[in-house]
Amino acid sequence: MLNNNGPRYKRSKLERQMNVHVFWCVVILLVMCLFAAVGHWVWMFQYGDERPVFDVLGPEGTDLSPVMSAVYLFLTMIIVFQVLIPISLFVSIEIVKICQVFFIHQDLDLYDEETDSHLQCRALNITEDLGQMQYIFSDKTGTLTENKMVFRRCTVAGVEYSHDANARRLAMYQEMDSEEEDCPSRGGTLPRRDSVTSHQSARVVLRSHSTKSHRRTGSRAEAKRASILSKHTAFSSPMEKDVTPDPQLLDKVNECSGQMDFMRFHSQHVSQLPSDLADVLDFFIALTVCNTVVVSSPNQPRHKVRVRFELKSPVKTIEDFIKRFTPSRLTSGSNSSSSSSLATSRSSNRGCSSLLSSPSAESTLTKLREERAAAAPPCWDERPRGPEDGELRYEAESPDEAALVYAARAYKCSLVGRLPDQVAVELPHLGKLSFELLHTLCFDSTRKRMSVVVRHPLTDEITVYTKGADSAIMDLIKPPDTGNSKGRRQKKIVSRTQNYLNLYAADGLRTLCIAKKVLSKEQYACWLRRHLEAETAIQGREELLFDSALRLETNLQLLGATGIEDRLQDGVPETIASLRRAGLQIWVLTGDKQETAVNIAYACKLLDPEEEILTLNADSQEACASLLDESLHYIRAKFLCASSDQAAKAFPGNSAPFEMYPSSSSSSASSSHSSSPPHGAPFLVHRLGLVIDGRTLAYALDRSLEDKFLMVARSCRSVLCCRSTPLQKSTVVKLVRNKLKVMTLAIGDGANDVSMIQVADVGVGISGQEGMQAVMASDFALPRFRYLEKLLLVHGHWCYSRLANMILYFFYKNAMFVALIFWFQFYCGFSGSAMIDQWYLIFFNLMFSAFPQLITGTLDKDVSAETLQRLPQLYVNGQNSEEYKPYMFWMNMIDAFYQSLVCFFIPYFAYADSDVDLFTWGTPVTTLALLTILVQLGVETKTWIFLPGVSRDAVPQPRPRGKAVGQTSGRDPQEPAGPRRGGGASVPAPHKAVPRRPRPDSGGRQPLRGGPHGEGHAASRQRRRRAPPPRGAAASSRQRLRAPRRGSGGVRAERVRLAHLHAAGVRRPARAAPRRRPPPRHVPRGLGGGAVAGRRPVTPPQSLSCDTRTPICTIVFIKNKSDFYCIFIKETKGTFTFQIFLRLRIFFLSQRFVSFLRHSTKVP
Amino acid sequence: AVLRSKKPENTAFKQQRLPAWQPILTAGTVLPAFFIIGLLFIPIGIGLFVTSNNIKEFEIDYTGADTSSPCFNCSQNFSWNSTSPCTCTVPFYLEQPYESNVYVYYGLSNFYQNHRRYVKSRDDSQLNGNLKSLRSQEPSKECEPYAYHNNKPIAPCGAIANSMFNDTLELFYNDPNGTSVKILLGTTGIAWWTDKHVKFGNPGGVDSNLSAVFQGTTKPLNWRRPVYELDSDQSNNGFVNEDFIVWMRTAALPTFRKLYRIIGKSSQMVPTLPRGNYTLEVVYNYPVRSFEGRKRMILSTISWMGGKNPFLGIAYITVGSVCFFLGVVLLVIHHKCEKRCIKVFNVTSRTTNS
Repeated sequence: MLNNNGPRYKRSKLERQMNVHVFWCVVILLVMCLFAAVGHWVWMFQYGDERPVFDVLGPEGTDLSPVMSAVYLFLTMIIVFQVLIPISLFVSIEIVKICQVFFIHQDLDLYDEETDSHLQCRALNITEDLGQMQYIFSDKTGTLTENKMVFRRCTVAGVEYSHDANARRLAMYQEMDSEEEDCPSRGGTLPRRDSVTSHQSARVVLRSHSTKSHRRTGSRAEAKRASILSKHTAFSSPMEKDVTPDPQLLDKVNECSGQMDFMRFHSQHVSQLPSDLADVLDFFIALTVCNTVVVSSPNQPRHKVRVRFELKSPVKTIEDFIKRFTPSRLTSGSNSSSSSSLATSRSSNRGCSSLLSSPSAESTLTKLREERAAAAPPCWDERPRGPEDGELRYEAESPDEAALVYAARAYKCSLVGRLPDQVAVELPHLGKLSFELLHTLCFDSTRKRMSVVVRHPLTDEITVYTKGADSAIMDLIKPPDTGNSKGRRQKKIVSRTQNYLNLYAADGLRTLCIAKKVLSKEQYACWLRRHLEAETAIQGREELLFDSALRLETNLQLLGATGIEDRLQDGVPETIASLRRAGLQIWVLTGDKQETAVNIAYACKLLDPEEEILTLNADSQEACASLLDESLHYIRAKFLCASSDQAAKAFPGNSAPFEMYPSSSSSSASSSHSSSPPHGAPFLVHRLGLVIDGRTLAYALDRSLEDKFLMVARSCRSVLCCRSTPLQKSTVVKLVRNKLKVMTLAIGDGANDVSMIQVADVGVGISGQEGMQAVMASDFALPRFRYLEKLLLVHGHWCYSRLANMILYFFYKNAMFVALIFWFQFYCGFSGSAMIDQWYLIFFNLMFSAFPQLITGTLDKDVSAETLQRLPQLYVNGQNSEEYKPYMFWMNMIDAFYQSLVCFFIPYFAYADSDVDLFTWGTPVTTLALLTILVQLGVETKTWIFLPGVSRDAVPQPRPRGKAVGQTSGRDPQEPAGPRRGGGASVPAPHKAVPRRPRPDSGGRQPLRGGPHGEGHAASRQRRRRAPPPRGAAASSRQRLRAPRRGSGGVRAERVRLAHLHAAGVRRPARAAPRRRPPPRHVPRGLGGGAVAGRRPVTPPQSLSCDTRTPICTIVFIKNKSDFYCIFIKETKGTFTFQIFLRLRIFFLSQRFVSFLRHSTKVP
Repeated sequence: AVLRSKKPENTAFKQQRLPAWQPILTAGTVLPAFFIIGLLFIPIGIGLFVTSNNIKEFEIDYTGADTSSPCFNCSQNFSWNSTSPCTCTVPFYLEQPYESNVYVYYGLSNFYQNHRRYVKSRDDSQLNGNLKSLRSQEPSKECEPYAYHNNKPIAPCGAIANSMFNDTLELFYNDPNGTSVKILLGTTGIAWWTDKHVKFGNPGGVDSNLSAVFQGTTKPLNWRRPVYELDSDQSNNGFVNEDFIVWMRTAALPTFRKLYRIIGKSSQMVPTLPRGNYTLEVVYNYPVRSFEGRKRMILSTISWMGGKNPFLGIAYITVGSVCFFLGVVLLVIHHKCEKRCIKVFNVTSRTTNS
């Protein structure tokens, strides 16, 4: 919290610009008043001493001198012309903003079903800033990613296990995310693992049964409930917890442990185990053991467990070592806590479950054996633990660890307890084993790995299990001795694993390598001595420990590698891509370590594998300076010599956004500080990525280097700051905001983003997992990152353009009106007289011209939402403030003066030298001006909204052409099944524009190739994740995937047919939705509900009673002689009642007009 | 309890999906618009112009600024305070006979009746016949400094009334055979009906004895006669005197005319004013020389569009012609560039969609 400053009062850029112009309005007002005063003086002066009869003396008969008279007149004119200062503008802006906020709140696309939350606008006064963003600073974890690590794939001993079923399961989640609760027969649509071979089918049934409980609860609501239930355990949503094991690997695990058990039974040496099987087992032991995960169970709070076993600790002294490693002692820590459960389960003849749930202590081994003999065949697939509440919970430091432990558990290698000196692991067949934990060499970012030293209970060997980044581990692998077969095998394993690692990385997975090393007792003793020295050292303990770890972690034997996915939130790559196309610079500021950050950056397409990456890691100020210089030189050498058209060629497709605010910002920025090099002019953002770590960032943010840093950073397409502190985050944002004079948006979810959020022009909080701190500090709170796209591209654009146009219009309107009076001054001796009735003057801003632009400012759309999302480039419009530029204000003023000239002089000449009186003449002038002002608004209005009876579900949908299909499927496709569906039907999904990938089985580009099924599903999953395609297509493909899994043949056939029909081009209504106006649907009135959709002829004037039953919103255009028009919006349902009753009554005006005409024609 | 979902309603209004029409200007809509405007405005303009031209109007300046002018002497010697009336005679010749009703106006130039303080300087309550404003209570403050004279409230008070036009104009037709015929000038019907019957009223009702009612008040400084002696006709006397009412309606512009009299059409056969020589007899009371003012007498017939004013007709014709011309130009441009434009459009549409 110390990083936080108090909230900053934010004022939108548009308002800041506007305030300047309001000030200019004051200046114009004063100039006009001055002009009038001088004019009055001249006018007075020409009469000399002889006062004309119409120049009335003061009330007391005082005769003012021309000068005094002019001074008084100046003051008078200020009052007369005060309309020019748009006081009402501020009120109107507030009203419009509130309406805009209302509409943003109401947007279905920004509503997250899962958390039942929608976007919150916490700041009401900066909605239009959303349309002007130039830089986005994003947190990574929890913002771009879900902060859920999911085990995806693994390689063991050079064999890849693709975990297709798991991938499919994840896809299911995805599907459930994107789709709705669906039909009640959901249980039947379970994905069967159709890749399994026949001998596994029995298991499949069992498994599907066992997972059914979850599947049935697979609806989002249930998932939500589950996630809430498990909320107090970090990193343990069902998605992360449940890993569907790869059948092959599972077989191997079983086989292996079975053999182990067998061998142990026959007291054979374990090393006789086939090496690949041994590796598999070791791999899982490593996964289970090599971590710092703490186990807790709901019944057994973990602190209790801890307290009880705090007696033992890792080896601390030589004596301890000697004492512990006497051969008499095989394993330690027998746990008899569950022996009772063993007994009960034994009696209840459900052997297998009790077998597995029983704690495997040495003492019970024989019993176990007996039992297993009795209870053959073993059914491994039953859940080892019974009901959910007995399930163990893992609490990990990092989500990766948890993911790995959960993954291992899926293979029945589960961590059941961790004490300071021992780790209890439950293995299939072998039961519960206790690994004596000798040392834990914790993770650090330099080593990029962690190790545990344990005594293997089966082999009684001292084993080091190491887990770490591939770059770190691969270098430490023992160079295989190619002489023997084992060495050759090792070499093969290493090369294959490396191969897979590359593939994983390319797929955006976080890779971890698992390795082990067996120490002889002598080696261990040797190492231990020095290690203990290091541990007890007083000076330089850290380094010594570090060295000690380095000494131990050598000559490792590679076991395998895992691929973990830090799941990106839905649609993050698309969002980033489209925001980037919108010309936004995206910087990621994260506290994570560099590798992770880079990995994620690749995964979310922030960094492109094709682009070069500048990595800045420096240890000192000087090093940092020289690095920055080097990079600058490099950039210049590489890109500046290249002509701009080449640069443009380099990025086909999106040429415009890469030119970065050439004129205003860069020049002002470069002129603002002298140290910036002369190459300030049009600044191109190059195809470069910049990665900088926290330490270097600290140097780079130093005053002396910050300009250079900015120079480098701004020429890079993407910037990634890793390991940055909250303060650094805010400093970076502040630096960019102040030096580059750009609009910045910061988005984050955690307390560490608060300062950044507060500093940025717009702070967005993700109302996610990490509490409400960020949300409390933010201006807008989003449920998901991907909503940022619509928020910025659509709502931001709309808010900005609406407000900008409204402000300009306000200036125009008032200037135009006031100018009329100003022109009149030339004809009334600059006496401050007005031909406009006082009431009109008062009501002009209050009524006559108050509401129309409010409606326009609230509802006008210059571009439709679909187009804005399809063409993010349109966002540049707001970035460059193209709707509201200073010259526009002046043009606007000139336009206003011109129009008022016309409006003044046409009546002037038309009534020149006639017997017209002051107000009879002034009223037509006013009317004319008012009409002109309204027509001007009409011209400025881009979209004319008709509300001819929009009923509640008047999502104007044409009836589906494939109606028959809808009926046969038993479900009317027209009927909105849910909000998403309804929304999708009328507003095409945000990602509609993303071109659809080729069909999954037509061999899309897939980095990893599993089995044919796997490929297809992976592809489809991926595709679905990346881009929900247009509804029709999505539905068809999804149904095609699901169709074979349907239980009932008839329904299944139906589905298939339906899918084919869809594929063949029978469109669902949604496909036609982008057409702006549906064909009119003539439905007789009075049917209620949705009957009044479509265009009805304009209601005749008399039926102003907007039928309150049917329409929710109605605007009735009434044209009769007294009402100019009347907009009558009435919403009868819901709490929100929005009534605008706009009556521009020119009745009064027209009456006067008519009577005046008659009198001027002297027909009394 | 089931929590109410915060899910927004999927209505067209809330989702901003109201059916809308986005007007896009294309050649197909703009060109016809130009032509239609052109073709509509030109006839209207011609109609207005012809109508205006058919109106007969005669104007004669009798200010007497020139030495040659018959009213020169009057204008030289005259001021508000002079008591003896000065009369001058201005001959003129009508070249055309005036067929229908002829309206006689007096016109003033450089007279700023729209001056801010001048416009306000009246008491509408008094003029409406409110006795309180007339006597028992003081006239409105707006009338200052023309509210009191010799401690008597001025009726009607204010600067407007004080500066009322008080020339008397008389017209004589000089017959070809030498006799001079006085033309009958109608004094009623020159003010707005609403003014005469609603806005203005004599204190004490229609039939009251005006001289008694106005007892205790004094006439405006520049007036020769008190307000109850403006006309012998009781219904045209006091505050409801139509000349007075007309004057009280302050003109919009410094050059204005006000209706003075109406010459009613006597019979179908004879023109109201036959062509020939006329004499305008002016009782010259109203001084305008101090502010470079001008006084005119205007004779005019009217039509449905009012008095003679060719401006509107010309304006319509001009706008119509410009529109038509622009339409033609745009049509030519459109015709010539059509192919190229289509090509450009296709390219852009493809690139944006890809």
